[in-house]
Amino acid sequence: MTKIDYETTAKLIENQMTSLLKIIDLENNRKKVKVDGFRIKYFPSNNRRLNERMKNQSLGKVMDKKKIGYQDIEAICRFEPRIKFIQKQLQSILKIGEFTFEGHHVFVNGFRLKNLRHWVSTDGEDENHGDPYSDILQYLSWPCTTSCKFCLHKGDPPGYFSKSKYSWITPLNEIETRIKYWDPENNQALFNKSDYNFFEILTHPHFFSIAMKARKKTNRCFNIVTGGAQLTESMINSLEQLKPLFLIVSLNSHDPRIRQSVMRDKNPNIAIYSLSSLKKRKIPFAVSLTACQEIPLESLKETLIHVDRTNPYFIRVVLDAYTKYHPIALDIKKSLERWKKIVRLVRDIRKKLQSPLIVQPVMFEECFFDSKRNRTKVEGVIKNSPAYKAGMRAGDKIVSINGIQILSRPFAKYLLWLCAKGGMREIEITAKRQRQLFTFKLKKSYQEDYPYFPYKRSAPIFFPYGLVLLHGLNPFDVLEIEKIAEKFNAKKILFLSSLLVKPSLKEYVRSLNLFKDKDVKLYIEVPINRHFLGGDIIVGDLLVVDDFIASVREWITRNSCKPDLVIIPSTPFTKWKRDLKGEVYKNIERELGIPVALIECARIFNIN
Amino acid sequence: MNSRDKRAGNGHDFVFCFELGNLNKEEIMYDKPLVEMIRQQIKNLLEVVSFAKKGEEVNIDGFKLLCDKNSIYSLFPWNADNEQMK
Repeated sequence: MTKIDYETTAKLIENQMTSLLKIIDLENNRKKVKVDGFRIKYFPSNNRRLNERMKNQSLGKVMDKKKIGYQDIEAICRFEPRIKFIQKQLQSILKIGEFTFEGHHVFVNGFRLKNLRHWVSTDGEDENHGDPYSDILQYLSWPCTTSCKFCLHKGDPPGYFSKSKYSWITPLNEIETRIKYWDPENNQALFNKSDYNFFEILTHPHFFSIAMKARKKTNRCFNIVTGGAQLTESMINSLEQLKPLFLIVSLNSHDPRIRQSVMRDKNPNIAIYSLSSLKKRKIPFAVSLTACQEIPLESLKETLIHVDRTNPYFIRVVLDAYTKYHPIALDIKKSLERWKKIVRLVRDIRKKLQSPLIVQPVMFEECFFDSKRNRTKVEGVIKNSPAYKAGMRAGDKIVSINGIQILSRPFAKYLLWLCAKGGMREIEITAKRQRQLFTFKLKKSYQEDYPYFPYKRSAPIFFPYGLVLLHGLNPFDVLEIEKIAEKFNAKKILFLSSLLVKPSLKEYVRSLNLFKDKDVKLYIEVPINRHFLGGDIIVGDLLVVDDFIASVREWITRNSCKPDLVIIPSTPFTKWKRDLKGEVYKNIERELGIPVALIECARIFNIN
Repeated sequence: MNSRDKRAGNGHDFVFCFELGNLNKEEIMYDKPLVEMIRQQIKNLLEVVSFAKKGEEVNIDGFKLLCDKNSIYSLFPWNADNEQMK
């Protein structure tokens, strides 16, 4: 290496480390270390001072004498990849050099964040920021007292989410630190670690103390999912202090024998009787029923009837799907048939129930059962809501809202959300019912009646005005395809969709006359979920970069040509454009040598 | 409660620690350590940023050292076809 090479490289490292050491401290075996220089391995005698100020660093107190695990950098990297960036920078520097203090080699095998204020991010970087569950409550996850056969975590890919048993449990003072830096009113919080956390939070020994601390910072509704085994009278009594509160109770069955056998619930009646206690305490709740194959359809039907009597906000029937690692891993063709049977039952019984009844994933029913898609149909009306009191009912088809014509369901949802956010106390909806037009005046009260949303100064998180409208494909998102194609001057476009969205997409491409009179071909392909989760999971949001790459390669082989452009919805990726494995979507383009564009759109998997 | 939990109520921030680990051998493309270091650094940067020129995003897949205008080094293994490859 010449002197010039040495000088240039040394300067590069000096500048980098000076910047890095402003935001991190280096450590060895969880002990902070002092560093004031470095040397390049090929010039061991040339010790380079980093910065005069580094001499005066304080080590501070030793944080821990006991061994405490490092953070899972791969999990965090989906939401805050700059930490992994720092790790990689240090790795590459240490490949050619070593750190020193007063001329002596310093061993470094870790780093820690200096000032956590630097790491507070906004909803621009993580769309979930501001939500109490996502920012704080999910870190109260604790081992469940039940053991559901259909639990998603039984199918976690190796090394994903939980590297070892209970390694996902968050230290208490980490949670408290997160609360300290949480600013829900401005949607700011420390980086998240997961959006894939389905453990119980009510079992956490410090649930109430932490929840009360979070409550002091916000009046936003706490949205809590629970298996129900903790919902004793005493627990529900205590939960009242945390209002506004919304529970999703994963009841799964009202039959104690089935809860015992399928969920290994030792006290099944606690969850079963909790619904009437929640009703008594006027805590709004929804009921979730996972329609796993261990639960007979007849039993599911009986549970639906039973639950309807307890006045839930809504009932959702979850079509269970499993990764290839899950003990229940199923064949996708058999799963599709089974899911269709479940939906037929749901469609039949829906007419007999008072509560809105929804299937999740929400596009499944429309994809396989509705000839016309994206209709402005009201799926259900929450009891005692403004829509209910105005006389609206399930099956009504919205024609206009405050005189604005509604042509798609997503637009209706968006407009309702705008009206609610804008504080409009009264709106007028025209809807078609049995071929006749009706006009409804929906009036919001200062305090609504139960079960709609009996809280002052807090908005319901689901279904403004009580109208249950499911997600659908937004036509404005579809029109974006044309704009993107024009920007890239592409003539042959490959759009990677999903099984559930493709039919709606094809319909919109036709009805919106996309690329009419233009010499452009649009191909729509559905990637197979095989490289990460696998199994019978058909939701497109769970595809990874490798799935997309494989799909494009297969298309190229079949068609003996390359597309000019690949378009993918943004929904499988975080705001930092990373998939479930933490891989950045840009790698699709880098590996294939074909331009890839993301089309920004909303997730339509969930209910709200 | 361990010592870190006890300190929670005293206003001390939790310390987020990260293991350094080692560079994956499969990630090494060039046997010139200083070139490889720069390649790694640019590649790492591309995990969090995209570059732009006059407001338009530009994609890069390689780099040259300012002192050597003839050699282009690839950033990614799947498009490396130059003679400097290991």
